[in-house]
Amino acid sequence: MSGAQAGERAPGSPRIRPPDIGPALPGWWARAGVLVVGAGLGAVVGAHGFWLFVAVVLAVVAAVSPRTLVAWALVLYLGVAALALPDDGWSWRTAVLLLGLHLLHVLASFSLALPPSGRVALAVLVRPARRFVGVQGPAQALAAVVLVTLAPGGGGPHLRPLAVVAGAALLVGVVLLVWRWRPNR
Amino acid sequence: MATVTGVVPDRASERASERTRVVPLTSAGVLAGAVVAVVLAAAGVVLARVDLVLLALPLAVASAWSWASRPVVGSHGAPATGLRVRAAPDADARLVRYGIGVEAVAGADAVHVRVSVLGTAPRDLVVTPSRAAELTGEAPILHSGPQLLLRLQHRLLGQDAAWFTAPARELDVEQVVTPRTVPVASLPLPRRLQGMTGNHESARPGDGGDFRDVHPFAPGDRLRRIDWRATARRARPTDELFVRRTSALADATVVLVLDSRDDVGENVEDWTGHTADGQGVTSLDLAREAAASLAVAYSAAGDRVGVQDLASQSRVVQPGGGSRHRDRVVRAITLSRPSGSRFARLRAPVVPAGALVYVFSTFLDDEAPRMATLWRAGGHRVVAVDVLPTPRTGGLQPHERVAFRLLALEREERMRTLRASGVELLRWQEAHGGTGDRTAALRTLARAGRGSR
Repeated sequence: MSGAQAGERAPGSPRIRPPDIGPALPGWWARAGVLVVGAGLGAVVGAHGFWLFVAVVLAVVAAVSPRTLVAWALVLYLGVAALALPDDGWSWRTAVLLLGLHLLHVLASFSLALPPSGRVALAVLVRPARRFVGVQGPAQALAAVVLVTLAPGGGGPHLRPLAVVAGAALLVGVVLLVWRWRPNR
Repeated sequence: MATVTGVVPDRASERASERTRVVPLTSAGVLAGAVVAVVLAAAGVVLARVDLVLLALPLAVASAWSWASRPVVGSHGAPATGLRVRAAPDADARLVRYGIGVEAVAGADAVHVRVSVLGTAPRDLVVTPSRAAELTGEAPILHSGPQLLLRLQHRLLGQDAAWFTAPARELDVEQVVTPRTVPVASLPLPRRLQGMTGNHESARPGDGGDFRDVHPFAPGDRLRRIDWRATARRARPTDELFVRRTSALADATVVLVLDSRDDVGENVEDWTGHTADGQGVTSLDLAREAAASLAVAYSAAGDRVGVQDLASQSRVVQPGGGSRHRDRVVRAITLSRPSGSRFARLRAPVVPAGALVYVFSTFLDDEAPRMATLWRAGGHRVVAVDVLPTPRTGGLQPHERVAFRLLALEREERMRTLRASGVELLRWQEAHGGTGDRTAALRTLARAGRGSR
């Protein structure tokens, strides 16, 4: 018997449905998100030609095969590509990159775990979205303050080496704080 | 148009899986995010680019937060997760409503449930823990007999899917659906009734039946049975007394033989697929309905009914009477399921002497006809009940159509041989609209068996 046709619902048979989960997205949304955000950030950082091509290729590979962890190679690639941006203080590109790299990390994490053929209830995304905003808000504000302050006309360019070290220290400090904040064992 | 067999599912049931300890497996994404954050921050420090350090900041925080969110082992061990399912038939027995409850643990962001309803392809659903605790759905009742209502598996997903648990062991939830029974007005009887009491007139002289004959008085005859008129007419030459004899009442022994080795639906395309909603009415649906209907009808008539299964030597219910035995027989019929047994019997299963044997089969191979012929040769009255649903061949490829045609011709030849060997045939499925073919055929069978038993 033809395998392609076998298993089709008999005429008149009621449809067999899975349990209702409310409004939902297809399971491949995270992979699609990696592709769109990755390629979009490639364009945002101003990469063109070969650099943009590499960004798109990495995004495609990351979307098709999340287990290769190419998404994080793309994050690194886009971060390095940010070096090509003019180092003259805060710009919308920096803000978008700050948001996009974090978003790419979250989407790539989801794409590793979510079955592409499944359904994901929209409610599942509420808590990740809150956390994302909770991290992005302070990070964007800090970036704006620091980069505006250190801009050539901002009055504090001589603080640049200090700011870099302070930023690194802040990063380590926040990580340690989060680590210590774990629930009681 | 497929007709859904009217069936009655079992009452509400509840099942629960084993509780399993939550052992979080960390996603490689957490480590990858942390590595990228460290590299970006280091590059920022080395190149004196504070923007790189700032880009690394959310990545580092997100990775550390995800890592820190893993469930922790308390003083009383790791938390556990489990699954429970309750299922209850709808009031009009058209569908089964079920509720799935997944017990998640603190810190889990989502629950990934893999669910297969009535043997369909598994569907992956990712829901919040609160929703997973009360997942509800409904499944239509398409067939009778035991069926896999749900196959479930679940795992927990942590913060941003940064950790997850291994899939828990599968939980299968079965539902047994009792076949519908249709009233049977005309009941064929065996060639010879063997029972000592019952509702049918046998060939033996005895009490309870109608007038049988006038016979010379013999020791043991009751005096009140002497027919003085007949004696006056006949006894003059010999001075004999004559008695009026009546027929004894007896019960019939009926053996219902199910051929549950395979189960094919009306949709020929699905004969190799066996999907719940793709095959339409199946041969076992019809066989269960036919066997249960006849069992109920014969039991109501006071006859003894037993069950045999060609697929298994263990599924045997010896003939008996009474309402409890009837329920036992119907339960045995209900629990029959396709077993795929391919062994060939050397001899037919033993059935009581003089029993009427019903063989419920699709007759798509030689085994059931061979058994029917052996029983017939042994002197039993055998009725072959054809339970192959009217096939629908739409959508078949040309070569599949040819194969099916050959199969159908072989089957027709088999049925002709059966008829020639004295086995009576009865097609159970009626044409759409219920034209009464089956009732007429049963009436004919009941008439054909009349006579001295």
